[in-house]
Amino acid sequence: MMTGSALPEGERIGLFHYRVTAEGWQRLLQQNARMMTFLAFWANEEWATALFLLEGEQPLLLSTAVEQGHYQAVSPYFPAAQWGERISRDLWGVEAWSALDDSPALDDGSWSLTAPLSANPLPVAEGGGQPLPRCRIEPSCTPVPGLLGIDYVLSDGVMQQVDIQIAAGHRGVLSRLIGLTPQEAMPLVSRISASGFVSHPLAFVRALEQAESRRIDPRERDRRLILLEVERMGLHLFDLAQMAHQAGAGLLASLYDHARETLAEVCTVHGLSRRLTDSISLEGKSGVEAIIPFVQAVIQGIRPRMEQIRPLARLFDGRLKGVAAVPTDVAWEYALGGVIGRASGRYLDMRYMDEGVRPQAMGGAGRHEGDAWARNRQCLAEIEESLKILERMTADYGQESEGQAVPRTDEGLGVAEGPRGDVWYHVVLKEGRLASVQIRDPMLPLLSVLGSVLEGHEPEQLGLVLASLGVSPAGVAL
Amino acid sequence: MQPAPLTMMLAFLDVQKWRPRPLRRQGRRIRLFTLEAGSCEGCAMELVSLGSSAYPLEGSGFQRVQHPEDADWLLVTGSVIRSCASALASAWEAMPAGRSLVAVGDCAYNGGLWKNNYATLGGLHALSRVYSSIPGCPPSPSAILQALVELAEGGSSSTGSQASSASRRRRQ
Repeated sequence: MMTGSALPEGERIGLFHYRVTAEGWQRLLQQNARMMTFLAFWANEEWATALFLLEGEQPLLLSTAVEQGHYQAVSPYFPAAQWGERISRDLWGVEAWSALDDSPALDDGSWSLTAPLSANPLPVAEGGGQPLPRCRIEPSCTPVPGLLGIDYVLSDGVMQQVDIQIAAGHRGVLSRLIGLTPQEAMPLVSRISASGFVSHPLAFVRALEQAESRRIDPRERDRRLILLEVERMGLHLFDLAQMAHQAGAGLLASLYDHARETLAEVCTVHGLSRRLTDSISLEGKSGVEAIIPFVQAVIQGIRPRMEQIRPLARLFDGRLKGVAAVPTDVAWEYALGGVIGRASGRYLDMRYMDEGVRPQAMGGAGRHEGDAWARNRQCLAEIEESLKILERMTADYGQESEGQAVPRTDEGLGVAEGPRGDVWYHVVLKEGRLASVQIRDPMLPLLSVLGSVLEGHEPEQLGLVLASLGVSPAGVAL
Repeated sequence: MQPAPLTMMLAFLDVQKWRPRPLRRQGRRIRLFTLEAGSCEGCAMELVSLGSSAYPLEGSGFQRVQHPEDADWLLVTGSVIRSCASALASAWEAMPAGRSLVAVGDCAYNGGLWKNNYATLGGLHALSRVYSSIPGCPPSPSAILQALVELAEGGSSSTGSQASSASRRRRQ
């Protein structure tokens, strides 16, 4: 497997970051298409950048210059890059040679500006552009909380040629963040996705700490890890409830709903917001001062609920067998993370890379079946695992860990294993402000395979399929 | 492991035990249609929770419907994205007379942290004078329900706390 040292022509410009020539870019992509895990791609008017995962879960950022608005596409070698290429074209107006797909992802003509993040954005007619192209299921009618358009052809009663559209949910997040100080950006980052009220700001804060060469004390580190587990339980309970509801298991859905509300109540009673919004702090203390009583209350509230849920869940989950299967090779090729990946045989969990991680409490739970049944079981197993992690943390809260200080580079890469997968932030600071910020939400790789997963299902199954995958477009439409 | 019928019965009894008490109010059943217009999805997820058995939405005289043609009130979440403006207008036009527009959450009211830009128009505050609002980021399901009951009874708000109060402008 390739490592950073195997980049003879690359100029190292950051901790994990190399710049290569256009020829070197293409050669590396060709040679390593089967040896690196692709995570994300973005391009602005100057640089095209791809984020990979190497052996030992070490990240690698590879950049090449954008010349006259063009660069060589990554998607022919790593198909998951196509969404990043499309989004980069919409936001910065740069185009990829030989891209697998060059249709608009965010901008279907409905904005008042085109290429809004470019140096010279182009205005369109006063009053905005055109309505989005029509699709069979309009974005606001899809059975998920966010905006996701789905178009398909009905053939023999099942969906075929499924096309996924996220443009309706584009809020211009990156344009708002660029130029802000980290403190100014925090409230926005904390509201990028309700699927990551903790994991998004945590990945952002970790990227900033790397950029500024800051280390945190072990108690703050543990408070963040605790909040991450509580968020995981809450989101898993939400997804389980939606799955049960869609599968016609109303009684089970009620138990999940009550358990999730119990969790929200515990958060509120202990001075946090119900869904942990604004609980991650940039420089102060995350969560609450009395974090151990909070953890104990969470355990006391959720553990008996899970004991009630477990036997009932096993009675009902047979209904999920064979639904929306994600094959193991697809999970690896597209780097599908979180429950989807771990239920499909990709047992990667970025929590193992966290400083202060308690591996003794982590069971390495994973499945290989890849269907909704497996994801359902995986969610339940991960809630149990979170409870064990929390228990462990009450015993050795704030234990010292060995971590190395990194040199300040004003560039940082942060990751947090959120409930639905690994969330990555790449930031570049200039004079204390965000010169660049890029976000990789776990929904991004899922977009590339969602159409093929939906194909072959009846339209009536759409709600169940989407619920079992935890689909949430807010973190990718940005 | 206990037998399946016993598991079912215990679960049923547990759900009964936690069944929430409805908020009493006068008047007819009000039909609600919800529309996400562009956000982090937090408010939309709280509306999903409000529709669950953990909250007495139906017992308090409300009913969620799948089509705006069947709705009395349109509940909007999120600051309005340009791409969604036509969906919002279409839903509003499809509703029968006596309709009301309710902004759920800070974003839907005034854009919250997501003000007007090239992609977003902002909250209903800037787009329409005909609306009511339920503040919060996101408002809790109980705060939303309390506010809906107050609006249904014609009150202008007020349980005292910002998170649970509803402000009412006009109804069309």
